[in-house]
Amino acid sequence: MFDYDPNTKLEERDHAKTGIWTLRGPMLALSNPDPALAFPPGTTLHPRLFIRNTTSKPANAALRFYWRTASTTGAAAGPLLHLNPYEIGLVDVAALQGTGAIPKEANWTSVTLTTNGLPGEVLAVAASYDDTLRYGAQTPFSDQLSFRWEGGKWQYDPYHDSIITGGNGGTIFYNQGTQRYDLEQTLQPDEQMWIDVGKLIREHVPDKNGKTLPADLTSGSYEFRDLTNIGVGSLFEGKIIYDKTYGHVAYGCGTCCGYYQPKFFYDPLLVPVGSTAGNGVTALNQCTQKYDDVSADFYGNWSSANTAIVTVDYYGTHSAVSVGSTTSSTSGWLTHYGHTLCPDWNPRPSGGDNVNPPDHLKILSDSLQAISSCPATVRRLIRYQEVSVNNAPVGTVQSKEQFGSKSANTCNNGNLGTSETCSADAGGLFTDTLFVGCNSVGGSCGVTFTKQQWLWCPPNGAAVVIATPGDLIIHNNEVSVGGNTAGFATGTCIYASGTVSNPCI
Amino acid sequence: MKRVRSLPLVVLALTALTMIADPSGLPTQNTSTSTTFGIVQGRVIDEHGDPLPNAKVYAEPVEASGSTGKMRFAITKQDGSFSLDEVVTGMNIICASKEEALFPDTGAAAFALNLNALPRVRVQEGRVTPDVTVQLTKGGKLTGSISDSSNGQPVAASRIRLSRIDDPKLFVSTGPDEVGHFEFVVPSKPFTFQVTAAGYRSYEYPGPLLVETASTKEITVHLQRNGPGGDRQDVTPHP
Repeated sequence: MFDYDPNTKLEERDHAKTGIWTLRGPMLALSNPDPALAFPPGTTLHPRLFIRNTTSKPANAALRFYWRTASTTGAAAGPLLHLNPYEIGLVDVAALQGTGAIPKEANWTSVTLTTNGLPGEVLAVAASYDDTLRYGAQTPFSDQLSFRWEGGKWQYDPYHDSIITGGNGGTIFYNQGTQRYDLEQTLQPDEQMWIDVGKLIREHVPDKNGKTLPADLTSGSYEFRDLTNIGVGSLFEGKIIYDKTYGHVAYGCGTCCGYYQPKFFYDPLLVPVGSTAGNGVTALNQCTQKYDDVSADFYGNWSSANTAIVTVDYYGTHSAVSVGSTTSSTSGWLTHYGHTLCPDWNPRPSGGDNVNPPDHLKILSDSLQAISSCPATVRRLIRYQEVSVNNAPVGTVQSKEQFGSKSANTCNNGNLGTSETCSADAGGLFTDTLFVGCNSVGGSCGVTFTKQQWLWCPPNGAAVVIATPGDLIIHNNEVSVGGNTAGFATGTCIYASGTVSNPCI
Repeated sequence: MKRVRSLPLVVLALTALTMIADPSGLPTQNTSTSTTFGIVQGRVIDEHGDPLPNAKVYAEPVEASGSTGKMRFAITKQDGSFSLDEVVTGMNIICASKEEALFPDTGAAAFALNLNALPRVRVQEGRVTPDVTVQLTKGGKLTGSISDSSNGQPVAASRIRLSRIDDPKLFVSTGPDEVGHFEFVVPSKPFTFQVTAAGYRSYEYPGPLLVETASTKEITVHLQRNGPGGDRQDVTPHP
């Protein structure tokens, strides 16, 4: 599977970030066929590689084999090829088995080809057939790596079997995708997971959750996921379905998953004055159509357009320096969404950052209600939001209240609790709860607290008055805030001066 | 003796847990010169006995004074457990809600299915009151909008009053949001529903308003201005 584009840059197809263009052929059948293929006894295959230089300049290619027998695996270096312009080089892999570079008893190998050229300039295909050309198959090469592959159909019945190979987290789906069978394996670089579906079914091999595949299962689908890396993954995959009657082996291709629409968690990000706030990156996963957190792929590249307002660290933690608005951005490598290819790309999402001090309070709701502890008593709940001078939310800040004076409680049930020490308001939101408690004397009773004020507590320095609701007259049957007993309309703003305005100024 | 010696350590540890559970992520504190506090721990469950995570829990004093200041509450963990610190000593009822899952706020008397069934606990200074179970019963959602019948503009300065028909002194009064929308999570009990606004004729929903369990009822109110031609109210209830 190749897609030659003369404008392609190496870094867009160099998924492993090695600086070298690399092709992989995942499942080449070696001279000694895997007994699972059920070829006639004595069948010998002749595995060969055909490597073509498509350019008018010389090219070099290096080969490496990752072989497996029934019980062991290993790696071996192959020959270095010097290809003249447009030359097709032939590598006799069977001969390498003859020299012992690859064990004679090995059944399979994956092949890695690296070149000094650009993507698509050197192509490869492998073929492995017996003398009659009846038994065997071709092996496709691909440069694709991804964090996730979605494979097609596998088959297992008296006439067919399937072998799947791929990365470290494989899942087999069956019963129209409603059931799953999960395998998990930690792989070293270039190591492969090897799944003989027929063997899993025949031998009732449990998955990582102890689940086995039904004995009468004949087909399904599969996927591979990189459990440790998303954004740009490091998985390749391959699959064969072989026909035990005719010896035909067919390769299947999975679809690699990519990302699009990367964006920040918060845009704009509200950074309270003198404080910090974190931001990150999400991107839409083509296969799941859900946003994944890909922040880790964007670490180390954050920057602020104006460091006098906001600075950003390696992980995207923003620190407010001074009041104002600016933007920040970062970059990272992701596997890109594509129909036939999943090239890497280097998006640079950006978003706004607002650093504002709270200036006044905005009322989000104002409710009166009979309380459950004593239904004859009224409680007033005023939901406030701390907002900037231009009525924008400011994020989490600390605040407290203060009073001019506080009367005794004529309901005879003690002093009212207050919030006269600084405490944090998550998201710049808090609810002022106003009630006197249950009436133990009869009639109307309560307290009068004069000149309620709300103050912002900055990280450093003295608290600043941001709102003066006014006198509180909190009785068991009525609660007055600055003379208002019916309740403020949503959207009303209260300022430090005591001004109450709807709409906000 | 052993229990007395170990108690301060227990209290300190539980206080720390509650601070972590506070949604702000930072410790909060209400102060009062002569108020004393204890701790209440327990679990919030639904009507089937299953734990309710992410429910909001708070205490309402029965004997002690009330407050002016920020509402204190705890959020239940995955197993429905909670730990409420700084609960004023004396008798309290423990209230809870999870409105996003249609469990009404039992601290509002009008929204408590049965006031007598709410858990009452006596809190002692510096002591932990354990094993309090708060059972919530799913209600329904009452939602809608309020607008001026003459121009369709929202009447944000209106007030909505919901009162229980079985006990009219149990009420909730609040305003819609800035675009005239409102939303309540209510128990499946009959209510009266009234809307008032300065300059408009008041509106009252005809007959008992009942929201069935786990359902949503929508009401669109078109308020008529006072004065000539303002003698008619329109309402479009959506069952």
